[in-house]
Amino acid sequence: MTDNSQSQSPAQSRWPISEMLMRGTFGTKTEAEHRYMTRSKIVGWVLLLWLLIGMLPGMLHHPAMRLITLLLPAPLVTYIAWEKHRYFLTLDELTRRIEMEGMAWAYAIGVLASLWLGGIGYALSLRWPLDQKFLAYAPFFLFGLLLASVKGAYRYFAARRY
Amino acid sequence: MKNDLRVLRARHNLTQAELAERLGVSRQTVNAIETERYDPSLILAFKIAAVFGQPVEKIFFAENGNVGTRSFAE
Repeated sequence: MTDNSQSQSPAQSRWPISEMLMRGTFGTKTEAEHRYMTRSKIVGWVLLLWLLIGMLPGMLHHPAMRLITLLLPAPLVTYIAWEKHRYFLTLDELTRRIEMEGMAWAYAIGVLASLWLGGIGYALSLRWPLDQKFLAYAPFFLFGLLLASVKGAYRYFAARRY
Repeated sequence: MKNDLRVLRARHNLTQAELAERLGVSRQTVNAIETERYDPSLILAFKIAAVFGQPVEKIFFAENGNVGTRSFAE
């Protein structure tokens, strides 16, 4: 008879590290996780195909490539974000909390990293004409502002629910 | 927050995985609660209480009875 009062070793008691780092899941082997992983793999292969097509001679400037680029990366990543959201909703309260903490850290580091990278990049480019170089580094600043704005807006609407 | 979950689980001869399945959470969540690394939500605490047929306050309690607030009786 097994002793049920014993907890498992720390290594066994936590989620599989390979699944968490390599796949972004908790390795719970649920149907939702399988669905998310399958769709992620399909999207990953399609995006790889897109990159390979772009590397073919003459394809980068081919009009068809514009259409493929328009239709593939952003919509597919959006779809995977949606699938991730569906997977998230199937998680239990502790795994959701861990996921939320991860997103909070990603947000904070994303904002800071984009502002630092934009600032450093722009500072290093100041010997060139300002107008062109500022435009090159503006996306970093805009990305930081976008993240902060989305967070602010979400807080406003979320606070109205309570 | 302290708890008697491990003792209760052993008394009912349940593994962490079996209890997790009954509660609809992962085994790791049960382990985190047992080892007092995670305090469950109110609803999960009530589910745990229902599984063992005990009031919530018999399973979960503050260390030294102190939760950092003063009661009306004081």
